[in-house]
Amino acid sequence: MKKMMILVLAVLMTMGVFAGCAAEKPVTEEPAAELSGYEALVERGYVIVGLDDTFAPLGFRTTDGELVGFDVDLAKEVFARLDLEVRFQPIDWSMKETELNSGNIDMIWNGYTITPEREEKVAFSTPYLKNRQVIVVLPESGITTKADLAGKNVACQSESSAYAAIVADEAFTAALDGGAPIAFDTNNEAFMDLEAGRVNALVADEIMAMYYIGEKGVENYIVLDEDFGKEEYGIGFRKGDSELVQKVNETLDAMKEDGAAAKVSTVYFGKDIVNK
Amino acid sequence: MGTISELMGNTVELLNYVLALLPALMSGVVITLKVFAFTLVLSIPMGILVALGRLSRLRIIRRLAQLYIWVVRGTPLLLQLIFIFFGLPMIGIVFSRFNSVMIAFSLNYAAYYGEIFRGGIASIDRGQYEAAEMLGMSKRQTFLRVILPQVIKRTLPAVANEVITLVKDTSLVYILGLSELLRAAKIAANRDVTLAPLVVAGVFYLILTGVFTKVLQQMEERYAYYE
Amino acid sequence: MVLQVKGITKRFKTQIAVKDLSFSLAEGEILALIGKSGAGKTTALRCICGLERVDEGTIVVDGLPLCTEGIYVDQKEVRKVRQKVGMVFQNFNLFPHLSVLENIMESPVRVYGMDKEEAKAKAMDFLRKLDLAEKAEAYPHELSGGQKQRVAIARACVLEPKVICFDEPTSALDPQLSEEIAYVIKDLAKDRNLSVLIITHDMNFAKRTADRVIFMENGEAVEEGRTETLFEDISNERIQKFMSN
Repeated sequence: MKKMMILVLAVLMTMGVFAGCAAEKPVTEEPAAELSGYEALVERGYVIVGLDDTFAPLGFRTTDGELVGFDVDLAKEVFARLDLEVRFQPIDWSMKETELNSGNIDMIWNGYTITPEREEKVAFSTPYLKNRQVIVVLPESGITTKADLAGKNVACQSESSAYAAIVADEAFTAALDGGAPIAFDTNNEAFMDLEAGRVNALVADEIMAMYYIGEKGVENYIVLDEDFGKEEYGIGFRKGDSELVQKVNETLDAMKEDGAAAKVSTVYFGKDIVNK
Repeated sequence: MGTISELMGNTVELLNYVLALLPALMSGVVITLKVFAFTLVLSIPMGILVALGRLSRLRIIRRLAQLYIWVVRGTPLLLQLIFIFFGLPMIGIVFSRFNSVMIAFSLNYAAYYGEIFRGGIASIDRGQYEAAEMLGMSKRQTFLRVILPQVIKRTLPAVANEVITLVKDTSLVYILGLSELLRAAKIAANRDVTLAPLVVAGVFYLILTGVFTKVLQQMEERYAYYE
Repeated sequence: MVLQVKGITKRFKTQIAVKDLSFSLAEGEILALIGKSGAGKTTALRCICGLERVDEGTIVVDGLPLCTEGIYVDQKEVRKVRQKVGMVFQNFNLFPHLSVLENIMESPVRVYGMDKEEAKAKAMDFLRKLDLAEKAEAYPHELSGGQKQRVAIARACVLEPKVICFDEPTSALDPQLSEEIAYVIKDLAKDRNLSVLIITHDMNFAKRTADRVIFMENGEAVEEGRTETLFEDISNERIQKFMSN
């Protein structure tokens, strides 16, 4: 009896600590929050940008290990203008909001799609890039519309806005083989599964899908006219860091005005696709 | 006709590509080895303590050791990493990324080593303790001079197994954004849209585990002088 | 008297293993405790060595009490008493990872702080006497049962105890070897003036080795006497019965 009591107590305590993790969502109560006033950041002298360095072309590494990408270059320019040192912290994409809320990073800046669910958790900058959730198929598949995908397999990246977009279309999801999309760790894996013929289509950010297709050869894929909706990328901050959000917004606006943003866009996309 | 030169050309291209990958993958290997070495150095002595705890005469210590082993072996290492890095700050305990990794890994492996050592210690004949006692040896001397050397020999194969598992488990630190070997390979794979970096990473893992297997084999041979 | 045992009783849970056992052992004397397995003789021996604790009774070794009326001296004193008692276990309990020489030198060097060279010379001395000099570098698993036993004897003797105890010294040996070990034990007693306590169920061995014998049955001493008289006592039914088994 006593043994059982100890056991149950131990389980409850363990669960309690974990529940604490889940429950403590209000960002303002974070210990890091008091540090995150803009003055505090200036005092500290640097900001930490969280990114998944497997996200080509937005944030990735050259063979020399140098961190580059559209988002990376944009962030460097923004904080150069704000006279703050910028440090990049690689994170696992599935942990991004947790990293932000625990104060390990000051922002998520890495093709971070603005969604209503995320808006509840983080404070977004004004959108800086338009994106679409595109459907990619192989040319020989004969698939031309969303309707053709009924009873078929569709892949996407887990924890991504693509996944959210598919699942939001309940009728479409229900018609899928297995009643759910197949989620992979990275888009790369989703593409490889498409090539292996185990999935019939994949849904991904247009920005990333076009990078992949560009690398692999445009003739090998078809991007359907139909899509899973337009969306926009924003930079995610902790709620309560409003002054930081404002400063970044102002700086980005200035960069759009003077053509600095367009320049970065041209390097990675060959043209200016930054939101006007 | 063109096929042979084409093949040659492709091979050279592939070789050049792999060569270009090496610096990034090597920096991944450094992190992998760092996690590996720190974990090994910390978890083996901790494992001995856990084993002694499990075999303690004090019931409360036995229970605590048992609870510890149950919690640590009963949950995934990945979850423990997340809990220590993201969970503990909620109650005001903050560790850096690498320290979190070290804590989670050594706590985790200490539990496994603890169970291995416990089995090893329990397998030593009572007569060895009694002989040492009759020779006037203290508990400490008995353990360090008589029991432990025999336990090491007996548990070496099981320990070797865990060592190899550890090499591969290091890949879990990706969850904290640390670019160990596998993640370094994934970065390259996503950038260059090819599987080749993952294959190269696989070769690296094989080299690492191969080297450690060899080292452990030699240790086993060194202990083979008796029985 | 080198060893005095007075009225020791040892219980395991409800069972009485040794009941009110008393005897003493003079310098250079060889005493055999004999009896069937389960008679309590091994337990008695373990109590005298301090490996088990008696519930009642007194044990005094070379003037130093180990326990008085069931009450033990403190740990430090126990160690002092135990230093005077050597033990050769039934299965010898040599340390398998140490060589013969290391087995013998371990305690003098590590516990009693003897100089390494001195300990080695002493150990070699014993090994030569026991005809084992060429096995000094060997490991226990490379030795025969008889050789292991002699190493165990050397290991105990190098600490210069007053009493040396043997637990079933012939159980692992064939008859020819038990003859040999009888000589070794007698030599120890004679040359070094060592008192010897032997536990055995082997009547012939006891007869050949011991000066005095105690018969045990159900934890109690039932007969005691000089070897030469006791075994010849045809009228003693108990002994005759035991002998014929």
